[in-house]
Amino acid sequence: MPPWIKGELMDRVYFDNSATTKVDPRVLEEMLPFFTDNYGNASSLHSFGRDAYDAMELARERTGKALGTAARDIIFTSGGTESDNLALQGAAYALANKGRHIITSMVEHHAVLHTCQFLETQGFKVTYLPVDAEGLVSVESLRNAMTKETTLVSIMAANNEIGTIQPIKDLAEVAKEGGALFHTDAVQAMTKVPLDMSKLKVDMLSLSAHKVHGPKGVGALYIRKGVKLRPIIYGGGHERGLRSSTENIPGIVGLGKALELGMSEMEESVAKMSAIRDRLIDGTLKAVPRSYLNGPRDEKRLCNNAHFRFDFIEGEGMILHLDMRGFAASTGSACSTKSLEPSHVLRSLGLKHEQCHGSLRLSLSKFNTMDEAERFITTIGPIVENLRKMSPLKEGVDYNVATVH
Amino acid sequence: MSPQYTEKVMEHFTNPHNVGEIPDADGVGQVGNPVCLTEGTLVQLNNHYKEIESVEDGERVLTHEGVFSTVLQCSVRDYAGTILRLKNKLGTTDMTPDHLVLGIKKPKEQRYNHARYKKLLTPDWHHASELEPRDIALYPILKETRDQEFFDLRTVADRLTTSAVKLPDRIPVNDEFLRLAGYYLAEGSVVPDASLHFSFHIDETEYQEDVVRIFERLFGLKPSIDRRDASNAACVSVNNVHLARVFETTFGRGSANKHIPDFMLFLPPEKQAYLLKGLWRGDGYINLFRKGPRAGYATVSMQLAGQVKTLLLRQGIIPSVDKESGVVRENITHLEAHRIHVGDASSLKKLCLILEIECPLSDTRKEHSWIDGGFLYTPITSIEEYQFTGKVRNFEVNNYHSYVTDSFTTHNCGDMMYIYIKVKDDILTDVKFKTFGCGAAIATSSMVTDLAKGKTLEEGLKITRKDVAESLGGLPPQKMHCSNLAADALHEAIHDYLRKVGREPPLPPDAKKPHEDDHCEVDEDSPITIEDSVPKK
Repeated sequence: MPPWIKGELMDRVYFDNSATTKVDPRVLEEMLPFFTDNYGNASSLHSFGRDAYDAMELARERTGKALGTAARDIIFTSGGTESDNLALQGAAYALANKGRHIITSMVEHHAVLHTCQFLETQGFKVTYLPVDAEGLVSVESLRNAMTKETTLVSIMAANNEIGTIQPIKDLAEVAKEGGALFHTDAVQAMTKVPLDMSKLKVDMLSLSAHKVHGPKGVGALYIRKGVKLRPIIYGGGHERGLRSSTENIPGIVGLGKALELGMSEMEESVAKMSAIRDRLIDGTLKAVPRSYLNGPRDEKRLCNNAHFRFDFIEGEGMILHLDMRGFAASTGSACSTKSLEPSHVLRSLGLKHEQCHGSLRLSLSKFNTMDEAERFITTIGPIVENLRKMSPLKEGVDYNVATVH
Repeated sequence: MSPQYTEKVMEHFTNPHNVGEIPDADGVGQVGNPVCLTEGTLVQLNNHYKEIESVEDGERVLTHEGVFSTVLQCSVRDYAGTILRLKNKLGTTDMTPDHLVLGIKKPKEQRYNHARYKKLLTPDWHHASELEPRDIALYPILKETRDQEFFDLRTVADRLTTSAVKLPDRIPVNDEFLRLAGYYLAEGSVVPDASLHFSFHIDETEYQEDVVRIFERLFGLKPSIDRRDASNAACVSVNNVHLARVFETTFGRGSANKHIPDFMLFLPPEKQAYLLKGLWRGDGYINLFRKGPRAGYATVSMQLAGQVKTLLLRQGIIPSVDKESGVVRENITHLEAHRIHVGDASSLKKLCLILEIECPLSDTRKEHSWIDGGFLYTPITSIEEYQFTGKVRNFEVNNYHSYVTDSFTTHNCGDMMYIYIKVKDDILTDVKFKTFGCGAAIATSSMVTDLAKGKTLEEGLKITRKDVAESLGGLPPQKMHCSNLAADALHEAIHDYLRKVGREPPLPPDAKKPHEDDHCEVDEDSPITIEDSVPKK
């Protein structure tokens, strides 16, 4: 470990688990032999290859089990983005002679949105469903958007910014009724929301290891039996020809283990995170005047997400101050991104520009503690107050910073 | 701490110096909000354009949503500094660099030169200084539609007592009346309280007969046609004092004052097509067989030009607008003319449908501009920078916080920064700030107060954006505009002080007024030559 991290680790609080998570030491332990001892290529016939292959198939089984399905329905990929691309492009092209209409929502991750925008340039039509003020896609709006041409619907299981859990059970049924495939990006929902493929009419599901205490650079796509996809990567025919490339065995092993642990500890972790989340929400809203919660308050919210906005201040300043006090969080503010554009998710909730600017996302993991939440609550108040002292915006003055609806 | 900020930035951000207001400040400088466009800028109001300085509280302006909203407050301030002149095919707008414009910043990748990729980008408000030529500007198309079945003649003509032929009380707002309105706006004239005249080319018999027929059917009047072979003209005349009054009041008298009445601007586009037909037959031309097929419309009425632009946009036709200053050519004095051109194939096809002309064109030309979701998307063709000293203005617009000039959609305000100064014997004895913005905005505010404190006014005015950024050890590229704001706000505070004590704020170095006759580059859709833009006579 580099020396400069030592000592600081104790005090630092990581509230940015929707960005990425810490690798669970038990996951790392299981991965390590596959770098230096069992480093074979899973396609090789010798014992090195067989060891790698067996480890990969165990991981596939564990992944299948986490989704209530068989190992054969799982394809390993390089992560959530690749899974989304394979699902969307793969299904769109495979079904292109049946229809060329895709439905998704306005609050999807860029991995889905930008893939859809690309498909639009390839002659596909895409409908982007709007969301309500809590970020929910309505089942009715999907039903209305379905046409005879619709071949694919992709709606995320839970939103990465504001934590809204979408009604994918009902949405998938509507897609099915209309004869379309249903894909869901479950990168954020995995191990936090039950996702049983034997009970949901989901045809494809994307997940990623590094959001569930696994390593970066590996993910999976669940593909229901019978669903045909056109590959987006060609080569040696790995993963049933859908994803050529020598398998990332240590990563895949890590993914399998992370999911196994995540599922077996789900009940406990969800309860723990929910309690911390609720304390963070209640405590922060109470500690800071003119603070608001974005997204839903009840069971429609991910157990690990608290997303606030604060009047009169800009998010980047908040993040920098929190960082100096050891708290890692993120903001939907435009100023913190390269594009200077505020989050498309916040904008689609109908928030004004300046409201997006003052936003703060805290995302938890099972490793966070109630004590950290208490420390955050006492820290955030003075930071906001301090930034407000610098702000020319104030109570009773109607201010308008650029907004486009 | 943050990889993109220098230590110095973080230092000033963490412990900003001189935060707060000075309640009895000698000068206050404010940037971002709310004053930003130069005088003379045309603002689109309810059915007409007005110079920004003559717009008053309570007037309704067109907003970025394509609907009208009320001006809550007009503001004005003195300004000395850089002004950017943005040009697109609709016209030019001069604004302060931090003013917000609705547009699309085009990424550098090659593929965004193609319209189909450009169309995938999301519009947003951008500071004028962030924009570059070839970025896309959005211009809203008037959305409101109000049909009107009849036009009441009594309201304008009932107080006349002459013995002229009685007119019907009201006439239908139908294809004939709208076409006649078009003919009048293009070719008509009024002898006050006497008669109405329409002059056509002697060969335009179809139009002459059309006018005669419409008068007979709508008003029961029989016009006369006077052919003058010497001047190749034919004049259709109606002697009716009522009608002369009606046309004068409704459409204006004299070419420069012609305008389309309010209610016609809101009619459903299907009906407005008839108005365009009459207008185009009078003052327009269309040539589909030259190398770059095009159509054009010319008028000396600035209001009418703006209205024709609106009518075209509502038909899905993309116009470009040019102003030509008055000249004397071949012993004929030409007034300042406003020329509208239509050059892309899909727009020309739509225009042909309206004019009932066959259109041989196919959609093969590159799409530089397009219409989608109530907006015209059109590239910024040039951006010029000049130094300016004078008044700049802005509005607070109810609900929508935006308004539309003749060429761009602009916003009320942007980032906000206030600098307060105390002055004694021309020394800046105290400088404080308040800022809503990112880390860099706070750090630059703090730095500028440090740099200015204790300096003379003259030295304060010499503090540049570059000084601020350099003192902080540099800023990430996307944060450079924050340093603009800080220096600008300081300069404004000093100007404010100077004006309060009755002294003239100094001119910035190389300050000059813009050239009135700047010829900006135009995109390939709108190269014009004098010959083909002269209305046929």
